[in-house]
Amino acid sequence: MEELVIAAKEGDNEAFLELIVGLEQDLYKIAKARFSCEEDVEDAVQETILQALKSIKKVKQPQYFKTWIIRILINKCNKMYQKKLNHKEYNEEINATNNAYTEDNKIIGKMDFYLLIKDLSYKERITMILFYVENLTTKDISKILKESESTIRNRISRARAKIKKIYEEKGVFDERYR
Amino acid sequence: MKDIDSQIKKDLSADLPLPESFTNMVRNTVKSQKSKKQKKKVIILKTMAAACACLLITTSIVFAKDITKFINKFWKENKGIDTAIENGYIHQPNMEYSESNGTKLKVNEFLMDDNNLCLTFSLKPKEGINLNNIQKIDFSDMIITDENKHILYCEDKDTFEEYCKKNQLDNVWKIESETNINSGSNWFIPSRSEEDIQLVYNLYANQFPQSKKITIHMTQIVLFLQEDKSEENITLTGEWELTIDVPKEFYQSEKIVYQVKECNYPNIKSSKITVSETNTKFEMEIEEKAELPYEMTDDEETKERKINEYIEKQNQESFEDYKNRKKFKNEYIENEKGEEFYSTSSSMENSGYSNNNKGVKYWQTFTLTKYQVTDELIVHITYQGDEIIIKAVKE
Repeated sequence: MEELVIAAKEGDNEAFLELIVGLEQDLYKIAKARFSCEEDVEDAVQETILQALKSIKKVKQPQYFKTWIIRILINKCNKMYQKKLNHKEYNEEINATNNAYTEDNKIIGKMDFYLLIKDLSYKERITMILFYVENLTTKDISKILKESESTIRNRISRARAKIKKIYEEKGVFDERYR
Repeated sequence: MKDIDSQIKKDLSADLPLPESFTNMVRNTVKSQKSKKQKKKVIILKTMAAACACLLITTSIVFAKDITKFINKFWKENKGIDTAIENGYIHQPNMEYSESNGTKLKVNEFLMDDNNLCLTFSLKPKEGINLNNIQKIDFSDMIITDENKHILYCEDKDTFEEYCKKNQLDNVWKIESETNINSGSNWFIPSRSEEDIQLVYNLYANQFPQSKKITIHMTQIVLFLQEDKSEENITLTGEWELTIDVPKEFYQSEKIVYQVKECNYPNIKSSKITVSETNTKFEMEIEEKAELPYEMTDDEETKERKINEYIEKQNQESFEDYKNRKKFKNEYIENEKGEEFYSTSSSMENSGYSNNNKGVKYWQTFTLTKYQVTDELIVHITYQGDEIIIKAVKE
């Protein structure tokens, strides 16, 4: 990945595209933690890509490219979300058909990710994704979310307890660990 | 505990099925920036996707159906356009090719309603180009204007500014224009033969003007031989201008307005139902105390604090809570035959609601068209748990 970042910094858009395609899942999940509407997810990720393209030269340490773009995306998502709420008009545009949490997803078995995060608050969702999916340390997460490390640790513990309950309710935990 | 951790990790890390529109957006966004660099132009794209399908097209209706199939990939339900096309709502301009430097271009079919402008191009590149190798066609400096100098579409900043300067327009280039320009576009190649290649452009906007004449102008056509390698492309230069006289039924399309006859909900201040060839627009205002997180009499500092508290509260809520908080649900229109027509699930401009200090304004677009209307219509909406039933009659 580091080679690609160096190439992208030098203006190689093929390398940049490869980097982004490699992070598609990560970007999608992070945006999905904030928005259920696919259009919002796409807008946030698109704005992130455009900003990353514009300022990739500022990335000093290529090994932190992923953390860097995640930070941009989280900020974009928060900005978009706040804009929607602050915008005098509390526009709500969540089409049931576009909602990732529809029964359809459950039926066709795409549910693990959504099932686990469905009862978590936004902060819990994003923290869990950064911790378990992105393998970031609580220290890194605290920097990204601008919160203390102990808050992050407590939140992970609280969210883990909620997920454990879901496993128990669904009998998944018992079956898997008996 | 470790087992739970590894299970959570496994479940959360499992790949999600990414929507095609998402993966296309990612690629198109990066690629569009690449083109910019090459051309040193700022092309603003909010392209949603590119789907290629090689289909044998026999009639315009079949062809048009493919357009709606394509549109429906994004807007879930657009049965209104299907119905309109079945009833002949598509235009074949019957024009000659516009030729420049050996490359010929014309429009075979087009459709225009308030929100969609679909164009089917037929392109005959100059000799020596194998059409089977073309993966993508980019009309990068295309500008579509009408007789009133409205810019209906333009993704190229230089072209945009040049047109505005020439016509003394004070339009300002914006990434996501608040005007009708650049609300969005998508395209696909539905068919090709040895002689020509077809390209469908679908542009969508909040509200297209009622144009009588449409002019399409471009000086550059880029043929991508491999979608992922832009260095392997052919740029055709020249000047192509195509003019289409918009048929009356498009710009003077019959609109049927309904008046409210009966309503079971006392707080509705006004409502409006307008049925057109391709959809039904519904608007209503409900008199109600605004649900603002602050009082209008609060000073700015207090307002800001309360807004932040409100946002923080929202941050903490689950998706289930968020879904439950949705004010308007289960909306549909029923005609006298008992047929039900649901929302088009289209763009943000076509459905949503807003609060202000007077109350709530709600707007929605339904798939009902003038071909299915009856003298009386019933609108059903669940508003904060209450079912609103509005009976309306033709004006």
